[in-house]
Amino acid sequence: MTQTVSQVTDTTPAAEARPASFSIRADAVATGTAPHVPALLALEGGTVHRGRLRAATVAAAGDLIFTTAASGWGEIVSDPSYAGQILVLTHPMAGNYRIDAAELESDRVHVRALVVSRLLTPPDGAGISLEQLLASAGVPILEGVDTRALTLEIRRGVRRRAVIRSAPSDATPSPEELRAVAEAAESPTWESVDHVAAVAAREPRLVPPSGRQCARGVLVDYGVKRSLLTAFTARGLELTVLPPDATAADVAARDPDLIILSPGPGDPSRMAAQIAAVGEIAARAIAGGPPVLGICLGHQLLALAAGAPTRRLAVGHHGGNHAVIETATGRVDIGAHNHEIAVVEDPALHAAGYVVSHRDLNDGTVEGLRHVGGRVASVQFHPEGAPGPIDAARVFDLAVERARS
Amino acid sequence: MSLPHKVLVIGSGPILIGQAAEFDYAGVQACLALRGEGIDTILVNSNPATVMTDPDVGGTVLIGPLSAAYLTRVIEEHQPDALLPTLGGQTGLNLAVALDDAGVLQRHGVRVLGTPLAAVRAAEDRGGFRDLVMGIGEPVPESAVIERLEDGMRFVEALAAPVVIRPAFTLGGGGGGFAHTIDEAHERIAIGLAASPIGQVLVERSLLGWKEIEFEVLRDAADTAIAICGMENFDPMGVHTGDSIVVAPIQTLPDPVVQRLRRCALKIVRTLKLEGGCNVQLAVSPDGSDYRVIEVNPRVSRSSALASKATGYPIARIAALIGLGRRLDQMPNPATGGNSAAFEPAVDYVVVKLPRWPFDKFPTADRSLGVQMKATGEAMGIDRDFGSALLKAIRSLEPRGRGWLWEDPSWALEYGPPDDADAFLAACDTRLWRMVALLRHGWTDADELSRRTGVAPWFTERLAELIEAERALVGEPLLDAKRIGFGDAEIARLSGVPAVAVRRARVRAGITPAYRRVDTCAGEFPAETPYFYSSYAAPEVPPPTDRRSVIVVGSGPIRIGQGIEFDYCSVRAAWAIREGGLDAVVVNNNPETVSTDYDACSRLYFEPLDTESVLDVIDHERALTGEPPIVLLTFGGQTAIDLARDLAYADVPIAGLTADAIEITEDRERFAWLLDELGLDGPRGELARDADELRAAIGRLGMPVIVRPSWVIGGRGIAVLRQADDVTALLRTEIGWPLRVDELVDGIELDVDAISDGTDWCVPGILEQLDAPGIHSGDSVAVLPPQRLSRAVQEHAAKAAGRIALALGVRGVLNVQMIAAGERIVVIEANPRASRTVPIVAKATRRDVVAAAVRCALGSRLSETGLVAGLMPDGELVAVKAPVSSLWRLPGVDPTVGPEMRSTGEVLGLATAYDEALALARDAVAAHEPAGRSAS
Repeated sequence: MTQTVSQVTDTTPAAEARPASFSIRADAVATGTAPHVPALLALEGGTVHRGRLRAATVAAAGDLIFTTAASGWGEIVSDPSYAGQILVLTHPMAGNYRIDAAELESDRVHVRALVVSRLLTPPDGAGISLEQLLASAGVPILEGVDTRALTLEIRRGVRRRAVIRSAPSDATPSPEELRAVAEAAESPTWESVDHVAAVAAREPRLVPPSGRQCARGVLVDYGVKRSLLTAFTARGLELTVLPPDATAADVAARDPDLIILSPGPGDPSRMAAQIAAVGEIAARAIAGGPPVLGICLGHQLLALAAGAPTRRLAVGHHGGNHAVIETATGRVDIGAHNHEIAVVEDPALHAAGYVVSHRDLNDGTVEGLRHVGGRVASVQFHPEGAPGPIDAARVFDLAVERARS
Repeated sequence: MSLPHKVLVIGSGPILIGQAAEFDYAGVQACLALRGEGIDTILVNSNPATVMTDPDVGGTVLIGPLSAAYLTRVIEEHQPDALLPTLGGQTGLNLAVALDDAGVLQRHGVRVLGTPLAAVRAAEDRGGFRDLVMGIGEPVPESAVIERLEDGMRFVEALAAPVVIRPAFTLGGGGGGFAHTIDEAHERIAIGLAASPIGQVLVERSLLGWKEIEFEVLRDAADTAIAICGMENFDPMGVHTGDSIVVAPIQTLPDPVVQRLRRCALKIVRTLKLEGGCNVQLAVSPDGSDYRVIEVNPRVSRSSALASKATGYPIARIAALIGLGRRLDQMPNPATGGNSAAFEPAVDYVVVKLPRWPFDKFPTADRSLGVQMKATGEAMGIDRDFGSALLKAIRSLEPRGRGWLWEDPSWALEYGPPDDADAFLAACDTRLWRMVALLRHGWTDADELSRRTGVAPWFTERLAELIEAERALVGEPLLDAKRIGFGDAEIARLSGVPAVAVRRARVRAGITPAYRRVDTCAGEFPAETPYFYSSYAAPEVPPPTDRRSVIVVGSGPIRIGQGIEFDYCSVRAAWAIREGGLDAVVVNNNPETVSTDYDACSRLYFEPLDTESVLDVIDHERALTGEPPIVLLTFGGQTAIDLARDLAYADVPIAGLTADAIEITEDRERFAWLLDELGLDGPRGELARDADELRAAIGRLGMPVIVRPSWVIGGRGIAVLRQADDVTALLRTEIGWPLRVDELVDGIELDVDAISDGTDWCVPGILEQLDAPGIHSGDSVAVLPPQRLSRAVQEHAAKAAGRIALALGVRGVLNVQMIAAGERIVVIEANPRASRTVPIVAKATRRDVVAAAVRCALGSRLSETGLVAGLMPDGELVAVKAPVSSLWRLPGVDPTVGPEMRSTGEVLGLATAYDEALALARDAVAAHEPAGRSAS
């Protein structure tokens, strides 16, 4: 059940500035933003961090990751790629400014929960606070956690299924703690869940270009964010967004000039149907069909279709400060990264005609692929930023150029 | 590009307001980086109190004037094949341009490394830069040069925004001003046109009240450009960033705005084709919807030093390597040891920088803040919250009663709100405290403060939050107060107990800070940076060490009377400790300096230098290493020495020094007794409790006399009375009785630094002041070795210093000031610590004075330190030190010298002959005289 935003018990003038399409869960609204309930975060390995619940006094379970981004909270929590994840903010002061509807990347909050050191109530003004945003979505924020200590734990390779729940007593070990640890250990792994189905488009839709139309594209939606759509429509592309189960034939039926395989959440190796479809789409492109650009999950699907495995990174890349080098030119760009999974540089890639076009400078992760014929390309990172730099936005320029020729 | 063989590095000269220790930090990093690549360096700087001017850092070091003439000579003699101009501040940059203009570089085949001079010129030429920025579609403040009122009004009406009017060719901006309405603009432009001798006025959009944002960026020749740090000024546009409270990272802007500004900064450095570091200043409208490019500094700067310390990313070192043609992506990450230096730091804490102003020394100075920088130094606080970082920064200013809770009694806020709130809150050195006090007394709220000051509401709300916490503090758990960031002293004052009781209760309850690593990556990668800050959070223990640690307590922000010389001493001390096989631990809070470079020590703690924080570090080091650390207080100036009593009270042994020795030197009576015991001569003096006693004392002592409040040595409130008029004049001022009245011995003032191991002593060199006694020695021209004294008198002076050192039980270094009057040696005062003169002695005699003092303090015999007991023989060089003042930047300050120190920095002339050294020193001073100073 959903209801409109104006019904949220919010007396600030900012409430009017919320996007009309923003949907909220009624059961969460009742909890409001007032009470700070003592709560805990339990990891499957047995570690427990204590804090207090804000935004929504509800329990949450998910896979624990951290981001080093120091701003862009609205963009982050509404990015479908975070589905199934509990997000730790390394930046110690969260929610400093009011979030404008234009900053949201979808019409929902996708993180399962936020873990922060301190959540601030931003000064009055237009837009909504991070707490209001999550409250309206019924998503809890666990405040008061030493997020650096937790981040170091994650980096050292702790197993990351986690549960957040209220915990009135602070005795250690308390029954709640033990129960939460057990719940975490019993919860489904992030990799085992079909997160894409939960976030992607169910019906095809048409997104018009924002200026003069120069070409037509099909975007297969595995969990696309608004900024990525805008990146193409702003460059004159009319986009047909197809659901994630679109076949190569479905795509071809739209007669596109460019096919975009979108980002999305979860582990791509479980997506057999999509891997097969992407394999066919890529094959058609290589044979002279419309060119393909894969981004993030789309990039991973292209690699899997080519026979290269993917792997979960020891520590995922989430933030806006990683540098990626374009191997052909030596050009270096700082960009937005948001991936737990990476493509393994397997001989199969080369056998299928792919070269590694981009690489993370720090850990060498494959950050982009290009087919020798030039008709299939992919990037693991997010040239659209949101949040983060858009230094590598020429990836889109090139793709649209290819679409027009 | 082939690597150069010999690179000329230009330093920045003496400390001036606006140009401080940050360029020693940059220069040291650059020289070490170049030498690490096997390249010879030639370093030119006139400032002897710098780490860079030691040969093991600078390579071939030439201490001489920073003038084009001298540098031309250096180039002719030493034939460098390259020049790195962007690390010596504006001074270095201007000289490089001057050398290029004169054709010197071309004539001698010296190529410019890093940012090409054409790019420097493009960035510095205001008009050209404006066109360039507009040419790439980035906004600059709208402006028009007009000669007719109608044209001006047409511009103002079209702009529909506040403007600033600047008449052409008027001195000091006369006839200019701000206009917020059309009517005001009409009036102002008319006045401006009349005031300008050529009838020309620049009308420019006023950005007063906009947010001021800075980006520190690096770019290499392969066009990789990265933003190391974005910083946000607490004070809005209108206050010089050097006088602003600065916060990192940016706190109040949404990501799209941050990204837009970052892109703008990178676009500018790419357009200018800068190779190295660059600072880009931007103004952002209060609602974040609009911005303007204000200024670009195509070099490392005070801000880049701050950004380096705020993030752990060594901008100057990487900038120097870029100058050699290295690519960011091909250099290893300087902090994580990862694969690439092309990486933008992520921080998981908040940094707050506060300026340190010299107004305590100059009560008559105009304390308002504007576009002309007035601060001499700065301190930085790091913590997980803005509030706690701010409170740490305040403690780091060594407020002496002017902490977070300080209020000027004249504000009288307990009786009512100020009559004129806007005037009360105008930008000045105490504005932060004024804002806090208004909140404390309930006269205003965060919202109103923001409206009146232009400080973003996010900041004023944090201040209001701290005041709320302050009110609720008593009765709350101590841990909560510590987490919020209140110092033990504040908690003590608010709860009416002594600070020591707070500490005792806290330590007993196990409430001690943990130390967090500054790692450039917010914990994302393993990092070994030995750089820590305290936080009441989970401990993050660095790898245990099996070496004993020696703590060097630094000197905090640079101020008049306590400058960069103590940073030199701290750094050399740390290096000597490391060479001795021990762990050198530095505690300091000045982000400009070499001593707060984590490369310079084994572990750096970026902390306030008060009893609380220093004891916390000592406790932590003890826990870490399993044995009590050795504490050195003698290299951090008076700041460190002032901790001696509290450390002794806490049973912390201080190496080479006792609290009692310090007390003897600080208590005139006890010091006089000591001199008596040793059979040494001190000035005759008396204590006067009122005007009659003062007159009587003067009658007995005879003029001239020097008077000072009895509780201060070498500090404020000192006056020299030479004639009856002076006495009358003094009595008309407000006097803190009793006054100490001492005879002013006429003679030659000497600065004698002695090194002692407790048994033997050595004086490596004596400085003779060329100015008459009564002028503060820091303001006096001085020469080493003495030119007007016989060897016998010098031996006599050295022996006096040595005997005082032994009597005080000093193991280490001691400074004694004395006057030689004929054969008579009168001891004025002794300081059982390294003094301002140590670097001068070290440079002039080429003796590692600091290392010797450290080794003595750690238990070595003097004979093992390379020094020879007694007054050491003169070296080959004569050194002339001259003070340099920049107080002309402070309106309202009387520039004449007297017993209170007024100079901000110093230069050295070093030559084989006295005349030559004196001439070099004169040239070095002249190089920093402001052009047209007398006219303004």
